[in-house]
This record gives sequence, structure tokens and C-alpha cells, in this order.
Amino acid sequence: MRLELRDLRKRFGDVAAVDGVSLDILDGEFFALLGPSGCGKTTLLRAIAGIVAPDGGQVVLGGEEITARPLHARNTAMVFQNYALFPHLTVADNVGFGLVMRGERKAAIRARVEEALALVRLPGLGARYPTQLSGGQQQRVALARALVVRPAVLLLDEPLSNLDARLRDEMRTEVREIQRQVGITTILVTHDLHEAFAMSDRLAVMNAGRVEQVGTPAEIYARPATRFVAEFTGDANHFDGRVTAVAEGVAVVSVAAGLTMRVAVGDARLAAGQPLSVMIRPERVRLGAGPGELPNGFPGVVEHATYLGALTNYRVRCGEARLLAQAQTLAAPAFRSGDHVLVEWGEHDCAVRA
Amino acid sequence: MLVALNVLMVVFMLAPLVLVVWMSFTPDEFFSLPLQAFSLRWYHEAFAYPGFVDAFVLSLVLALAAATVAVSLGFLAAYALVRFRFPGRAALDTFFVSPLLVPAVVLGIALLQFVNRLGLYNTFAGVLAAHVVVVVPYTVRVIATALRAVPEEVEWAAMNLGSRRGTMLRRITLPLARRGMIAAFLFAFILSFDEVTVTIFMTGPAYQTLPIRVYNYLTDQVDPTVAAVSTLLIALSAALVVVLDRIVGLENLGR
Amino acid sequence: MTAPSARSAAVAWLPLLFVLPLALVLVAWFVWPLLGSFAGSVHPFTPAGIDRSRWTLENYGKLGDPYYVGVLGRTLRVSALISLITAVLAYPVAHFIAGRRGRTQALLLLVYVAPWLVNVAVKAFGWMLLLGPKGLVNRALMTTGAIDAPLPLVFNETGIVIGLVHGHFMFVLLPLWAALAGLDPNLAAAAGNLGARPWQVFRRIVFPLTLPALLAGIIINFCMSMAAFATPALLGGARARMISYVAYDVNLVDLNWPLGAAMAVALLVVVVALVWVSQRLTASGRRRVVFEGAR
Repeated sequence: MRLELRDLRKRFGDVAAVDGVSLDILDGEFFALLGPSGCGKTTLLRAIAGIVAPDGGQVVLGGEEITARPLHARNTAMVFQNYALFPHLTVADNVGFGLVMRGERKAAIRARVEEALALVRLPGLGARYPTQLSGGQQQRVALARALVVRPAVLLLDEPLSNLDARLRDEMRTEVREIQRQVGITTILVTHDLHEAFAMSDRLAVMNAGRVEQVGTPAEIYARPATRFVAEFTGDANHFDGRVTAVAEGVAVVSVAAGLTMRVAVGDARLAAGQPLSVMIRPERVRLGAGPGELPNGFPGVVEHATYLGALTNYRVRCGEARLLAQAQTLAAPAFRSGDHVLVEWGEHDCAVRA
Repeated sequence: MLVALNVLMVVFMLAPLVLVVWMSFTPDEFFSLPLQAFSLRWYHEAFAYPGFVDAFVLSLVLALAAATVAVSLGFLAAYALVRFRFPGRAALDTFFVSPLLVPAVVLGIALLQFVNRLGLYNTFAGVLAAHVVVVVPYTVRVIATALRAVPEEVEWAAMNLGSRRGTMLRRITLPLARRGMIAAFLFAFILSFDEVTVTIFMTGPAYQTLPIRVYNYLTDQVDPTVAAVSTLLIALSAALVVVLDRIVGLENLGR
Repeated sequence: MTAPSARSAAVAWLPLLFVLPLALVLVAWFVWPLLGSFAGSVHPFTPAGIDRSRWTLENYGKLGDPYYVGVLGRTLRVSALISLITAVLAYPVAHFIAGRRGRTQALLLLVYVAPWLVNVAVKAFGWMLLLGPKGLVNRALMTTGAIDAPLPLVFNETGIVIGLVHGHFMFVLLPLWAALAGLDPNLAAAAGNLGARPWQVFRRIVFPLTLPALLAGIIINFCMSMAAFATPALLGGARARMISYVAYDVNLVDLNWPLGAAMAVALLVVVVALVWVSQRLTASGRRRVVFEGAR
């Protein structure tokens, strides 16, 4: 079902945890809310579930407004960060809890619980108690418990953050697979960039209670709308400068550090003298020895090379500008500290912000 | 509904105390609740009544002595339990707290027969020892909690720098655990002052603490003097509770 | 972690030095008298005094007399009633307090803890003023015409129940409140999210998880009621004597110390057994509530 959030607001004391958030999440979509701790993403999720009541705004599910509906009357199911499994109930009773609340019959409950446990690949563990399970198993039980009631929206509150790294990677793919199989609209809250990118169809980057940008992972990574989004989603080279000339979708920008670069701006209407910010991802900055082929090329000196195994990070100085470049290492790092290099990138390798 | 019930419960908890205090200000001869005139005559009566004043002094001295002894013994015991590791530590911990397990009636009976055989019936020493026994589980617990908050490293540092354990205790540990010690003392004081059951079994009419005198007064006759005395007792408890809360916070006393 | 070395020899007897004073006091004035009671309870009581040359179990046998059994029965009945009422009242109060923040919560806890620090005789006096035939409650009811004659609210079992529910309430409230406050709030949120209405959340989640704490508290409360002396003596009057008062009579009026000792021993055994049961309950309860996630 489609979920719309219209201008949601929530304050706690003096702090605006959610400050006017509007989102439109499509049916069957896997949508992530990404942001640092304290940005309001968990509060937003809880407002959707009905655990906290918003101070303003509306939550519309499948065309119906549910903002005023109590927690137990909404058709959402949440998987909590600490799983919140009922310690005094068996796994089967945990999973079947929502069905019991909905008044289903025992035989039907038993069948659907088995089905849900099979879906999360935990068949036969129904008689155990949560304390007897590993973290990964508990997480899957929590997921089964949420899915078995066939909710309109599945809400995941950092469900993988308590797992160790390897298990987390496994679970990412599994959870996404299950979601595709079931086709349920899902909202994931996470502070982990990779998790959001790997799992979601679209995501919203949040900061201090507001949404800074909504888009697909690729859009957000390549064309961050704000400096915060750019920096939160990876390393970036930032330049603030002024447009000196525009022609045929390419602007010439003179930046503070003394470089002049050519950037593709598409249809954007820009005037000479207008301020413009340019961002280039380190992996788009190419380092080479010899004559350049790309529109933007600057001589520079490698200040530092950091070997990271598959990749190597280079810090390069071009005149007064400092750039971060990243390249695959292959056999060994291509350059060392002190080497003279040509730094270059193409017109479409950067993103601009007015 | 929930709020209404809770309001009633708070009223329930405070009602008898409020009533006693209110009654103590009545100008009348008999029990009535003063609505217009308030008087301190029963307070004058209370202070004039030698029985009450003597009993107050006895209770005061007893409580001060019991608290001092209980805190001293309790500090040594708590220190050993918290800082040292030795076989039987857990058992000893349970032992020091075991008086809580024994009903006051049982202890009263046992001590009654015991002190009589020793010829210590109705003596200060006998009652003092009994109060210490009753009160010491609380002092041990409270002081142990306070000591646990003092990091052991601080003591090692002091001893490393050449201080002997006795000096170190006096100049480092005690000051750091001061709040807990004061809380334990006040706690012991209130509990000893209020102690009724064990004391009743162990003392006769000649040797009455203030609560016992109030108790006897209530069983024979009742006039508002007892209300004045009771109010003073409530005030004493209230004052000590406030001081305790200020120093330590009642929620932090650690069970 | 080991203490600084060089003192290994001294350290051996140092703990002993610290614990000995208290241990001696307790042995002398606590253990020894109790043992004395055990010993004293097995001698027969004769008109001439305690005959220490003979041993007998007749004192315990006397506890089976209809009089004592009757008093014990009343004590058990009243204590059970007190525990029941306390249990029913403790939940709404604990729930309410757990839902308040900071200063209000501390203040409320103070209200419930403070009566414990007020003298038992004073509290009983207050109840007499409230519940007596000319007390506040009766006078209020009669002035409004709700009743014609004063209700017998004190100097009987009712008085004892009210007085002991009041005096011992904190001992059930505090552990229950602690258990409620320690519950993972996500559990209630999860239950609600899955469709449980508030009363269902209570019945299926909160109650089962806090039940061990409640039971443990109730058992302690029961023991305290069984063994209470001053409150039942003052508020029960001659009509409702509990075993503690009978013990007083036997020891200080009849001066039948062997019988008195037997009563003390019997009461002690019952209380210790019940406390042991209560400890087992909290221990097992703790094992099951330990899972609260990584929070």
C-alpha cells in the first residue's frame, strides 16, 4: 500500500525531532530513512507506527488517513532494534501473537506461524524461547512476527545494527529477498550508508528533523542536493566558486582555490558571476602521468598515498587546492608521496549546487 | 480512573499522619479536629509531662548510641565485604543481613529470655545491643553501596604512595564515602528511635522509650497530649527523611 | 585484579579483623539468644518454674490447642486478606508512578516510603482518629446521613487490615515498581503494534513479566503481617488478637517461657521457609527477564 506523510511534526521539549517531513512512498517499495543519530528518523518511524503521536501533519495509508488511529488499530508492523521479543513466550507464541490479537483460530495460527518461520528460514524452532536463540535468529523471529500479520507497511528500526558484520551482510540480502518475495511496502531506518544503498529502492537523507534529499541511491550519491548529503554519503571534494561563462550546457567555474573547471550543467539557467558549488567524488578524480585527455586537467603533487588494500586514497595538491582521489590499487599503488601527477576529470564527473 | 485511584492512595498513605498533626493543635479537652481555634496547649502538656521528656531523652541517647555503634561496626564489615576477597564472603554477607529475616516478635522473645538469664533485663546495654542488631543490616547495606562507588584504585594509589591502611581509611576512604555514611547514620537513627516491638519485649515500665510510652498511652487513655508527642515524632522523621533525600536521594539507597 | 603485593601475609588475617567486631555482636546478641530459644522451648514449664533437667516436645504440642489454632487461623486469614488487597492496589499505583517523570516520580515514591519511617504507634494512633466511632470517617458519614450508627472500623479485624495494608504497602510497591520500570518499553510498543489493546498488553505481557516480583513481594508482605505486633495490638483491640499478641501474653504475662520460645521458633521457621520460597521466585524471574536486548 502507498504511504504518504504530509508535513509531520513532533517536538520533545525544546527540540523539534521531526520538523515538517513530507514523503510519498510507493506500494511495494523498499524505502530507507538514512541519517545520523538524533536526526529524527526513528521518531518518524514511530509516528508512522503510532507509538508516538505527532504534533502536526498527517499519515495517510492506502488513501486513508490514520493519523488519529491508536497504535493497535493501524495496519503496520514494526521490527525493533533490540527485537523486543516477548521473553516469556515461545518463538511460536511470539510469532503468532499478532494473529491471536486479531482473533484468528488456532489451526490457522499454527499454519501461518509455520509458514512465516519457513519464510525466514527458521523452521522447527517454534518451541524454543527467545533467550535460547542467537542474535541473528532472534532478528529473524522478530521479522517473522511482523510479516505473519500481513501488514500494509513493514517498519524496520535499525534491525541489523546489533548483529556482527558478517551476519549483517548476509541478513541484508536475505531481508531484501524476503521483502521482494512478499511484495510489502517497507521502510528501513538506518544510520549505515551502505545498508541504505544496498537495500533500498529509494531513500531519504535526514538531518535535524528534516529531509534533505529523496532519491534513488545512485541519484543521491552522484547528485547530492546539499553539502550535508554529499558528506554523509561518502568522501567528496568540494569547491565553492563563481560562474565565469556558460555555453551549451557547460559552465566554466572559477573556484576559490585558484582552479578553473568545466562542469556540465544541463538545462540549468546560470548567469555569469553567479556562485556555484562543485562536488567531485574521489573515485572520479583520475591521476595520470602524461598528457591529459579530459576537459579538466591540473598538474599536482601527491602529498600522501594511503594503501587500503583494494583501493588507494591519494591526497594531491594542485596549486592551492587539495584534492582527494581514489583509485583501484591493482598490483601496487601507482603513485607515491612526492610524485608529480596530472589530475583530471570530465565535465560529467561532477555535481553542482547553486 | 487510574489517576483517581492514585490520588485516593496518596490520601490513604498520608491521612493518619495528617490527622495526628491536625489533632495536636486542638484547644479542647477531648479529641476533636480544630477548625477555628488552634492551640499549643497540648505541646505544653507534652513537655511538662516528665514521662514524655524522660522517654524522649532515653530514645535520643539510645538512637544516637545505636546509630554510632551500628555505623562503626557496619563500616568495618562493609569494607571487608566490598574490598577483600576471602572464602565465605557471600555467606558472611547473608549473615550480616539475616536479622532482617527474623520477625521482631521472635527476636523480642528470644532476647527477653536471654537478657533475663544474664540479669540484663531493663538495662541500657541490653536494649542498645538489641537496637544495634535490628539496625545493622541496613547500615551494612547502605555503606557497602557507598563504598562500591569509591574506586579501589584510589586506595591503592594512596597505599602505593606510602600511606598505611588505617591512615588511608581515615583520610581517603571515609571522606569519599561520607554521604553514604551519613545516610546510614540517619537511617539507623530513625529506625532505632522508632523501634517498638523488640523493645517492648525487653523492657519494663521503668525503662520506656518514647514510642513505647506513646504505645502505652494509647492502650490506656487517650488525650490530645499524645497527639502533640506524635506530631513531634512525625516532624522528627520528616526532618530526617528530608535530610536523607537531600544527601543521597531516597531512590539510591540500594536494596 | 589483585591488591598490591608485599602485604600477602598480612592480608590473610586483615579481613578477619574487620568483620570480627560485627560478627561477635551478632553471635552474642542474635544467634545465641535464638539458639537459647530453641533450647528453651524443649523444657517443660511447671508451676515451680522451668524444669531444665527434662526435655519434651509438649510445648510444641500445646500449640495445637484449639485456642492457639484459632488465633493462628485468624492470623493467617487476616494476613492473606492483607496480601490480597495490597497486591490489587500495588499494580495501579506502581504503573502510575512508573509513568511519571523525574521529580514527580521521586516525590510519589517519597510519599509511599515515608510512612515506614514514622513510628508504628503514631500511625496506629492516626488510624484510631480516623476510624474510631467518633473518628473522622464515621462523623463525616453520619453528618451526611449516609449511616445512622457508627461503623465498626477499628478495634477489630478491619482495623488491623487497614493499618497493616497502610504500614507495609511500600514493601510490595517498591519491588513491583522496580520490575515495571525495568521492563523494556519496546515490549509494550511491540505488543500494541501487533494489535494488542492496552488491557491486553497488561494481561499478556506486563503482568506475566512482573508477576515474579509481585509474588516475591507479597510473600514477604504476608510474613510481615503474620509477625506484626504493635499495629494489630493497637488496632485489633481485645476482639481480634493475632499470634504476636498471644506470644506477648505468654511471655510477659504468663511468664511461660518454654511455650513462648516454642511460639517464637515456630513462627521463625514458617517465616524463613516462606522467604526462601520468595527468593526462589525472584531468582527464576530474573533469569527470564534478563533478555532486554542490547540497550
